[in-house]
Formats: sequence, C-alpha cells, structure tokens
Amino acid sequence: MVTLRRTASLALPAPQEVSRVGPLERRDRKLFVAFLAPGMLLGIGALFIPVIYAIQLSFFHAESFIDEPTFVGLDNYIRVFSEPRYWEAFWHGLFYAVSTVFLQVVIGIGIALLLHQEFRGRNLLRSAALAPYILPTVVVVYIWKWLLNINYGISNAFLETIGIGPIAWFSTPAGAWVSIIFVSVWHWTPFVTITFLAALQTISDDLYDAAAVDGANAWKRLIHITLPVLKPVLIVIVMLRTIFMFNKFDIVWLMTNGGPLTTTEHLPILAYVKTFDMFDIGGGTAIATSIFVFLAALIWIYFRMFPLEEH
Amino acid sequence: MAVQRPSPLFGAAMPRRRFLHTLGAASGAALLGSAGLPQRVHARRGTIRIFNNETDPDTIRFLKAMAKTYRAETGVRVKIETVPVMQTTTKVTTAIKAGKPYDFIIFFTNLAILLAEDGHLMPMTDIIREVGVDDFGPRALRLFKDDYWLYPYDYNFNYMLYRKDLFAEKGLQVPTNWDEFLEVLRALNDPDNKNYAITLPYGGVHTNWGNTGFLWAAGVEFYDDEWNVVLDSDDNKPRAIRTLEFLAEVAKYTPPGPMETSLKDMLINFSSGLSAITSYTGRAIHTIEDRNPELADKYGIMSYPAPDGGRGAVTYGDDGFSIGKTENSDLTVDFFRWFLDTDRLIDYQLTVPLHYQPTQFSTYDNEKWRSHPLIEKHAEAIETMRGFMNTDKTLVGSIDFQGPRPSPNHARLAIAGVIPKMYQNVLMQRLTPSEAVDAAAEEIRGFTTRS
Repeated sequence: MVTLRRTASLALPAPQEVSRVGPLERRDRKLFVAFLAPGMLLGIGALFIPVIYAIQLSFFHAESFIDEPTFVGLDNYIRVFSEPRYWEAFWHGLFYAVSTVFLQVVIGIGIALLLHQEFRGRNLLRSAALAPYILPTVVVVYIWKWLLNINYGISNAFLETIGIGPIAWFSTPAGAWVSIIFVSVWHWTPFVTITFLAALQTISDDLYDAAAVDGANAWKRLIHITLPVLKPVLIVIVMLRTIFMFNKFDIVWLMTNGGPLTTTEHLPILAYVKTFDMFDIGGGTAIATSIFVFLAALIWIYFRMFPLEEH
Repeated sequence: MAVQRPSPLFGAAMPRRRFLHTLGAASGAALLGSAGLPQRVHARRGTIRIFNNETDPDTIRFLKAMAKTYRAETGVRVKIETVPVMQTTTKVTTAIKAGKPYDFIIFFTNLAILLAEDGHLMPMTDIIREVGVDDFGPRALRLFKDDYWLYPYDYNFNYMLYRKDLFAEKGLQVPTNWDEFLEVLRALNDPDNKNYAITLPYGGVHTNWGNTGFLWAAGVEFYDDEWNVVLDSDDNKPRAIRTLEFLAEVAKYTPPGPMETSLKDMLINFSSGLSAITSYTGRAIHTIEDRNPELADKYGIMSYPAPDGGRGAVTYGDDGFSIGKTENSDLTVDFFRWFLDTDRLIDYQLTVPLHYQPTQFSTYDNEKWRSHPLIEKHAEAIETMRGFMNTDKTLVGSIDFQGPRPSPNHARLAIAGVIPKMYQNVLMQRLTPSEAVDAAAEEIRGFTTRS
C-alpha cells in the first residue's frame, strides 16, 4: 500500500497543472454542495429538529401534545431519576442489550465460520441463514407469539408430547425474558453473521497456508489469524448492536408490553408509556434524552477503550 | 428569423417564442402554486377527513362506500383514516398539534371531553337535542360545560357469555352471587379433557374492559369526587381485597396462562368450546356465527354477579362521533346531518349488528335495524343487552366513571395497567391482596393530577 502511495505521489502533475485544475475543483465543489444541500436539509429537518424538540420538551410539563407546556427546568429529570421504576427499567435494558449482543456475536461468528467453509449447498445455506433478518419485526414477533402460545402454540404441543409443559412463556418473568432474548437473537444474528462472513472473505488464504506450513492447528489459526482480522469488525458490531438492542423497542413491546407486571420493561418502553400512555410528556422525553446521553457516553468510553486502527 | 436556443433537457434547438411561452407558463404555475390557489380550489370543493378507530373490515368497507356516495351527491370528498383503537389518543392529539386536525372523529367520550376542554371540538348539542335527549339510554350522553360533544352509537358493554347447553347438561343455574359463580366454575372445569370453565384476561390493557365487572359489582371505587384516591380507604379496601381473592380463585378455572389471555383468545376459546364462559360484547356472537354456527343457539348472556347477590354489573366502553373545530366544521356538520337523515347511522351499526349495541331506544324499534337477519336470529340476546340499559337492574361501571369528571387520570389509570397489575401481583403471589391494593393506590396517587 505504502509503495503504491509513493508511486501515486510521484505521479502527481506539475504545479502549473494543479493550478489549472483548481478552478474546476472549486466549480465541482459548488456542484457537490448543491447536490448535497437538499439531503442535508432533509437530514437536519428529519433528525435534528425532532431530537432538539424532544430535548426541549423534557424541560416542560405538559399533559398532552395539545396542552400548553409550562417550563419546569430540571424537575422532570429529578422526578424520573428518583423513581425506582426508572432504574429497574435501566437495568432491564442493560441486561437485555448485553445478553442479546453476546449471544448474537457468539452465534453469529460461529455460523459465519461454518458458512465460510467449502461445502455443497453453501450458497443456499447462506441465503437461508439470512431469512430471519429480512422478515419484518412485526411478522417475526407474531410468528413466535403464535408458536409459543400457551393454548395452541406448536412449541407447547411439542413440549406436552415429551412430558414437559405446557409453559406459559409470557406469564413469568423468566419465561418472558427467555422468549424476548430468544426471538431477538433469532431475528438479528444473521446481520452479525453476514458482517463477519464478509470480513472473513477478506482474509487471504496465503495467511492460512503460511500458518499451516508453520504447524498451526485450526484453533491457533482461529486465534492468531481469524480473530485479529475480525477485531475491527467485532468492535463496530458490538457497538452498533449494543446501541440497537438498548434502544430496541418493537420486539419487547410486541412480545410482552414490558410485562408481566413491569419485569421486562426497559427504558424505551418506559419512555413510550410515560409519553403516550400516561400523558407525562416531560417525563417521557426526559427518559428518552437520558437514553441518548447514556448511549453517547457509552460510545465515547467504548472507543476510548477499543480505538479503531486507522489502517 | 427567430433565434433558437438549445433545450437544456434534450439539447435540440427550441424556438425563442416557445421557450418564452414555456418559461411564462412555468412561472405562472409556480406563482399560483405558491399563492395557494390549488388549496383554495380544493377547499371550495371540500374534503372531510374522518378519523376512524373501528377496524372491523365490514365497517371500513361501509365507510368507504359511504364516502363515495357522499362525494357523488355533494361533491365533497370524504377521506377516511383508520387507526387501531389503542392509538386513538396519540393520533388524534398529534394531528391537532401538527396543524392537521380531523374533521370528523369516531372515538370515545373521555378523549372527546379532553378535546372539548381545549376547544378542539364543535358541540353536538343541537343535533342531539333535535334527535331527542330522552331517546338516549342511561349514561350514553355526558354533558360537559353545558354541551354534548359526542354522539354515541355503541354502548360497548362488556358482559358474560355462557354456554346454556353445558349449564343445562350439568343442571346449573345462572349464578347470582360469587359463591354460586365459583360452584358453576367447579362444575364446568375439566382440564384433563382441555375443557375449561372460563376465559378472562388478567394482563394487558384490555383487562380494564375485559375483566373489571367484578370490581364494579363489588362496589370498588378508585377516586372520590375530589380526585382523592380511595381505593385503599377503610370503606373500599375490604371490597377490593375480596374481589382480588375471588379473582385469584376464578383464575384456577381458566386455561393455563390467564395473564397472557388476549381479546382474541377470549373469542376463540369461547367459540371453539375450549371454555364455557367468557366476557365480551356481541362480537363474541359474531365469532360464533363465523367459526362455529352450531353454538349460535347454545349461548346465553349475563351480567357479572355481585358478591352477595343483588344488582349485577357490566363494564361500559362507549364509542361515538365528534365533529372537530376545523375550517371544515360547517361542511362536516352538513355531512353528519346527511349521515343521520339518510339512516346511514343504522347502516353503520348494522355492519357489526350484534357488536354495536345502540344507545338510542328508537333504534331498537327501527324496522330496518330489527329486520336484520342476525338481529332477528339473536333477539333473545338483544333483549338481554337492552336490559343492561336499565340501571335499576344493572350497575354500569367503568374506569371512566371514577372521580368527578372526565380527566386524563382515567386514561392514566387505564393505560398504566394499575388494575391488571393488581391482579398479576396476586396471581404471581408477589403480594397479598391487601398489599396489591396498597401498591395500586400508591401508584395511582403518583400519576393523579387534580387540574
């Protein structure tokens, strides 16, 4: 790479040619900005304005979106942080994110390694492994809710035939967590698999051949070649998945509504319930803002701990 | 000779005259567009936006056909937006906030009163007085600031449906108190053969409607007339504890996982014969007709019995129409008068005839309504439903009737799931009934506002 760059720098045009190219570049830059502007404006409109509006609302008291809000400063934050339900939801979210990301990464890498091997029907299996990911979440949840249903679900019919159950999956905290985590892992592992598979395909066979010549067995090749190459991908994947799973609303909401009682309620659900169900707009947006701040801090710490190498 | 300019699009030469004409036309169109001419032309013709939270396919089909007819007759476009009932508040309020309020809203009293309080609705008083206030059944109309804001079309009473044939087979009578009710459940329950006595929900927001009849029958109250929480008062708490103990006993006779029971489960379990009793509206009868017509003459309807006998209870959950205060209000009033004058209300109610229980006495005598095949076929059930309108015989309870007046507190009480959580705390044996009542009262105090 270095050699190529040097070659490229040697091949740079003469200074007078650069000055001739300059105005053209400036014109291109204007064109570039003109093309970019609508997208940027749309991005600002669709992303920043709602975020700023939500943060602004967290400093007001309002009982509905049509209510006249009153400024209350940090009261909403003080109030929600002093509620045990907030901290319960926070730990639930953390537990959910850590457990699902851990399982997704472990299983995802395992499947990626398998699918990286040469075997007959590999392409078919690769496509099949992606299937859960391409299904809409609502479809995934309803399929699993149907399969896990206590009265007519096929899983309970099977459990009954082998003398276990039926199990009321959504009636106990443990059952509800197992269901949510299982479905989340089932739905999102293909994303991890496909990312790692892509990374695996960038590893040159020469490295494995050289390691084999040096007497490295499969385990050593995995530890010393495969995993180091996967490290940057692993860092990004863990970070992205942690953000996604900590913020994941749909699966938990559709599966359990945060129940039974509030045993599977995490912060996004609590924020929704407060804002839209309990008409505590300020409280709900304060929770949403706290999620934003927490995740921003988490990302910062994460990148401090695991800096991405430039090359 | 005209100077020709290359077309910026196609590169071919374009005559200058044509170029200038095109430019002029485009500029004119842009100017008119920015001046809002298209909107004004549109407004003259008129478009009424309807918010509808009735998701039954037959009802939606009817509304669409009605919209087409109305446009053909008057030139006014009627646009229908159907949204699931649980999203009603969010959708209606955010539409107002976004500056696009609905002109005609199909929803429920509690939200109507809230919107009326903030000046977002037109009063329905004149129309309702023209129809006749006395024509409406008890508690169907709710006066707020001396006006009516919602025209109710459906009582949405939640009552109990039971299998008459199974009762007869076991020699059982309709229970009149809780001891008798439990006797009936014991006699009907046969879990080894997958026959359960009753399906009731113990979890989810629908429990507020689907399983609160026993609370009302026991006289449990949540608020007094000054928004004080009285659930755990000396007077109320014993009644609440007794109800929780009773419901925990009832749960022993339901299919496994009562905390997971959905509205759909209630319909399916009863219509399939899995359970002999459930609670619902006439929609359960429609489900029987659709899925298991053999049961169509084998069911009966009853109110929730009171603990020691006496006046039973049903749970109220009204639906009605409101007119939004928008630039189309006059147009919408005309539309609603047309809707009533042309008997569209009856047609609308007949889209799910046994489910939409009319709130007007006159409807029960309306020939068109009475002669509907399903109304004729289930005349006995209709009479029982109508009997629930007699407040001397039946207590009509609801979260919405707690406290002095309509308030967001009702919505909080419902959606926070205080009642199902109370049930679940007892069922999961996390708290004793007494502790569950205390916890519920504490939670209600946390979100109650008096403003």
